[in-house]
Amino acid sequence: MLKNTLTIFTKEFMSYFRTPTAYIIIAVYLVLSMFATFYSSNFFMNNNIGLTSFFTYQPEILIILIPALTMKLWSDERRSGTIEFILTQPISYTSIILGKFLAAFAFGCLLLVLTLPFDLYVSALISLDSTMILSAYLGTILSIMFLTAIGCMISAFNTNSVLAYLFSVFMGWILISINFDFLLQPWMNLSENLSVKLTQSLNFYHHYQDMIMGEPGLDNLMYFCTLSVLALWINRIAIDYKKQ
Amino acid sequence: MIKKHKNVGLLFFLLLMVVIFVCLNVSTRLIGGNLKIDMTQSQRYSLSDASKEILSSLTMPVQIRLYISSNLATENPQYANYAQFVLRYLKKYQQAAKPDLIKIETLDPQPYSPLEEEAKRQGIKPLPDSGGKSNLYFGAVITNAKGQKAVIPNFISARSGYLETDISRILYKLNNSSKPKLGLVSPQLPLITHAYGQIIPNWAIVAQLQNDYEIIELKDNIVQIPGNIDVLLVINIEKLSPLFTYALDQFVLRGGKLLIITDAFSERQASTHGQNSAPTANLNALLQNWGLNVNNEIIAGDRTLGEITSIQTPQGTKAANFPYWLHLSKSEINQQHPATKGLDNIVVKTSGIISPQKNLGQTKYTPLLTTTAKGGNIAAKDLYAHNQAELDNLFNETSQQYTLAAEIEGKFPSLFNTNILAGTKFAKAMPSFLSYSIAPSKIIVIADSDFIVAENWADTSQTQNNPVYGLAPIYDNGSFLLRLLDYLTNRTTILGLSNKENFNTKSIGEELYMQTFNQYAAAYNKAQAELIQRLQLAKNYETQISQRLYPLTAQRAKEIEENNKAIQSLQLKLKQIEYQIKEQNQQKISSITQKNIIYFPLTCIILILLCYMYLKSRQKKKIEEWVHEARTH
Repeated sequence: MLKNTLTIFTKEFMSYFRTPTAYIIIAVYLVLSMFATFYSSNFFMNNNIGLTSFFTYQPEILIILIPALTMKLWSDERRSGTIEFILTQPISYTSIILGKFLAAFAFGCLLLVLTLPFDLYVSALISLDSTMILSAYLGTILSIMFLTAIGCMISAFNTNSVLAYLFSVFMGWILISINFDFLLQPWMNLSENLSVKLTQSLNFYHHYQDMIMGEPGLDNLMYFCTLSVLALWINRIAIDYKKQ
Repeated sequence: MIKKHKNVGLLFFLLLMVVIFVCLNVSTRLIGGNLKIDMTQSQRYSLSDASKEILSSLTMPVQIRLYISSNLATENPQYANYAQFVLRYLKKYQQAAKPDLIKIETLDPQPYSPLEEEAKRQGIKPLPDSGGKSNLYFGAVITNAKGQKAVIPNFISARSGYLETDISRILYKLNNSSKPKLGLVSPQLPLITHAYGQIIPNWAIVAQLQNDYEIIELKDNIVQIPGNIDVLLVINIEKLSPLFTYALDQFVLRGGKLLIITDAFSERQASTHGQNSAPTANLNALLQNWGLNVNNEIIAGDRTLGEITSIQTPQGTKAANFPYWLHLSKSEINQQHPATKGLDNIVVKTSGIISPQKNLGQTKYTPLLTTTAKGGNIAAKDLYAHNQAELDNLFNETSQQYTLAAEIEGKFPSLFNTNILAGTKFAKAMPSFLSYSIAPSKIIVIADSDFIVAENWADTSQTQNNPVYGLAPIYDNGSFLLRLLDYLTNRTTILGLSNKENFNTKSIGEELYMQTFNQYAAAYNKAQAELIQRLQLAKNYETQISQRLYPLTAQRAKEIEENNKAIQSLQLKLKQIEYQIKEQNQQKISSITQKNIIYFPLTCIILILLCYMYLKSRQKKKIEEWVHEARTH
């Protein structure tokens, strides 16, 4: 299974670089990230020992770009009819789904790796809190994982990749924006009520903030992992269902 | 029909999965929500063991009423991150305490609302909003079940490193209702200002002390230290009268805890009293009896620890290492002693030298602050006679390590043979004479009094409305004094509290500005020093003219005019330097932004493209080889 997953992963990952899409995505990501860091997050005005200015707008940027990586994963296969060919191969569905998912996820991580020179550059200007940055990177990687899984899932339901992209952006935006805090009184989120815990446990920003502030926990990890597993599971059901 | 059933089944299954997802997350939050890893280098979010101990010893419920305006973050952005940090931290206290012991109530005082009135009544001070109106609130009132309360009028981010210390100290104070009594003897430097008809604030350090101690002022001619004094603080007494010597001697023999601050040259005293400033009394008669010797004739120095300051020389102003103003770091502060453990930057100015007596007997001597082994000295009398440049040249490097603060503990014999008031009517009211200690005592001596002057170690700009929690320390001097007193009063739990790194250290913009400023610092400081001299001269001319000390001759008028011209030119020069710094800094910022927004993404893309082209050409080569091989076969 691992070998099959790896084969699909390599094929899908390398396919990104055969079209200009990958380069455009990299360029747009880097320009947007830097633009948000320097102009929207007041890079020079804030205390940036944890590069908070850089990480603050990462979810918004990734919502736009990750669906561009996942939109064709299944929809193109279905549109061109190659899905029948793949699904009749002696490879388990899980291998195919994981291979495709990991390829897009790895590309997402590559985007993040490309920002490392920026960290080194800033560390020459001020002393950074490396462990806090590590936590923030972990949070962003988990966000990429969850957005990729959502993208894969949406792509599996669509034959049109443009629609898959739009739905993925919309779905990602909905999930990230879920915030029931408005149901509570302002600042009440400090209390330990069950209602507060319920809203916080489903709030993306609550989990992401914990990570970029350098305080990750079990609940944050659980949120990102369960959401990704759920999306991939639905992805599998969608493939199964469409085949039947 | 079968398909319809299948669809319903699928929908039901999906719903079930979503429910499982929600349940899993909520239960993890409920059960393991507190399982967090503090990944910050300074352990910013972790409560220290001392705080946990304070929380575990809480005997009654505590309510924290947090007054925080809901528009604080939008109206005053500098508070946005800090408000979140405070909320997180308070939550930590709530989680670490036994259930329901700490209750946090957050209140949003809107302008002109009854809640705003209540906040003001409780002592919360308003902060300015973006329009300059004072109607934002960010403070807390902490109350225990007995109704005793402590108020933090404002949380200021410059004090964020002290947040844990502040809250834990408050909780400790509320849990131990009575404050220890601190006897204060400070005749030459009146720390507590007594002025009738006008409000003169106390020294900033007094506000810090009053927060934790009940201060009882004592005269330096009393014959007996009141028995209820837990710790006695003696600062720079002018004369050690026989009566007061006897009082101190008997206080120590009864196991009293004593903190003596003396000085070879008190800069604050000299600036307050000028020429009339009296030197500190020689306490050696008493101290030697306890095993210590303070040399106030010599001032300790150290070139490796000296403060970099601008010094006026005949050739002009120069930045120099002034060896008598010492910046002590961890290696010069005793890290084994409970009172000084964890302190890492203390500033002392023109300190005397402490040394132990040869025969210490049953007493234990512990140095607390020292210079490095490359120390040096200068005679104290030279400080009155020379300027900074001359003093700098007079520094005598002896390559010796000098002690600036030390502790001696144990039991001591009395300096007296009998009660000095024996036979008088006062003797009857006094406790019996002791010839030897009945309980071990602790005595700490610090050979510098300038270290308590807050302006030397903290930003006091926000202390007017918020004297305790508005003080933003830059050095650990305040903590040093408070911890010494905590140590002497046996408040060991509090001693475990240590300050953390400030939440808002310098921003990148400030850091860049300082880097640019340093390039122009010499020229700027020189022009500024010259301007100060010229302004002083202009003031002197003005005084002479107004008091008609000298006739206004043509020569003098010319001198005045030249001086005024020089002032104008210096002011212009300073403005030009400031403009240059600003311009250069702006260029630096633009260059950084440009590099990161344009060149950095472009370089990344080119590099990846090159990598891809290389890989593709290799792949092409391989395919060609295979085709070639296939053809040949």
